[in-house]
Amino acid sequence: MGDPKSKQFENIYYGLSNYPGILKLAPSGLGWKTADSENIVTISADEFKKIQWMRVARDYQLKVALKNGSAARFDGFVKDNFESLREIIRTNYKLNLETKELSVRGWNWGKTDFQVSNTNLQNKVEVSLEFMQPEQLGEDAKVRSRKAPVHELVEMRFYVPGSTVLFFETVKEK
Amino acid sequence: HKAKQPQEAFRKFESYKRDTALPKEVKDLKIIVDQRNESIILPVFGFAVPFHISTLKNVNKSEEGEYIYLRLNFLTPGQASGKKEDMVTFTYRSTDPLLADIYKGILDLKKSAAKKEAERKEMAD
Repeated sequence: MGDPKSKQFENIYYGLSNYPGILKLAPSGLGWKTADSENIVTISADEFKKIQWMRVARDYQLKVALKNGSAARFDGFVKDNFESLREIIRTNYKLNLETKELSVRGWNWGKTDFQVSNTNLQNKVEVSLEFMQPEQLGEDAKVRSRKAPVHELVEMRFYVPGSTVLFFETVKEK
Repeated sequence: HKAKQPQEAFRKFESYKRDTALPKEVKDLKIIVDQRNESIILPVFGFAVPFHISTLKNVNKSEEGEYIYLRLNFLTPGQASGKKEDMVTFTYRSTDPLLADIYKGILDLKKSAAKKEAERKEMAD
């Protein structure tokens, strides 16, 4: 095991941002910023609870679960980054980089990790979730308009005979 | 919403064997119609979530101002007890005119999959 050191990864997206930046993993914690330094994120290593690796749309994600219950997500890693990430995370933070397998079979889904702006019990068998749009998440409108139009998920609706109320309560607690 | 035991009908479909087989275009965080693998891939919170075309119940398109809306209804594997099937609906919106082409692509894929399935049944008889 080597000494703690800093390592940088380029073209990394923070959360659902549509502009990439540089992620730096320093012994004291992590920092992410865009080239123009207009967007900066820093998190102290003391806050890290668990770090996971998983396949997402923009290649691979490093999910840093924090002690306060939230998580910082960084997308855009290539598969080959895994080993060096695992090494630096072990050396700097004494944490194990876990791999989270997600199904791509086409009929199995069960993710429940999202930011909901509104939820409604439509009726006894239907629950609807409305999602915050990127504007509401603090993204610069000017940055958005420069980019190609996105496909925004605005609502998910579950028709769940028999178990709706329980599901609704679970979501509300999140 | 806990994962339930899939019904037999869902067992035979597989969109992708592993995550490295997902098409490169999923990077764009847009809806992808993958004809070859008979699947629709939806961008959901940064994840690329494939749905086999056989799980799609229906899709509809509407327009409101500068936005096109796509609503996709999927059947989810219900309980094995033969209860009413669960359903999940995803609603997307975009100013991207390509969404109309995607809508058409989904309808075409659904049609060809239904035709294939009918042929398969005929062969089995």
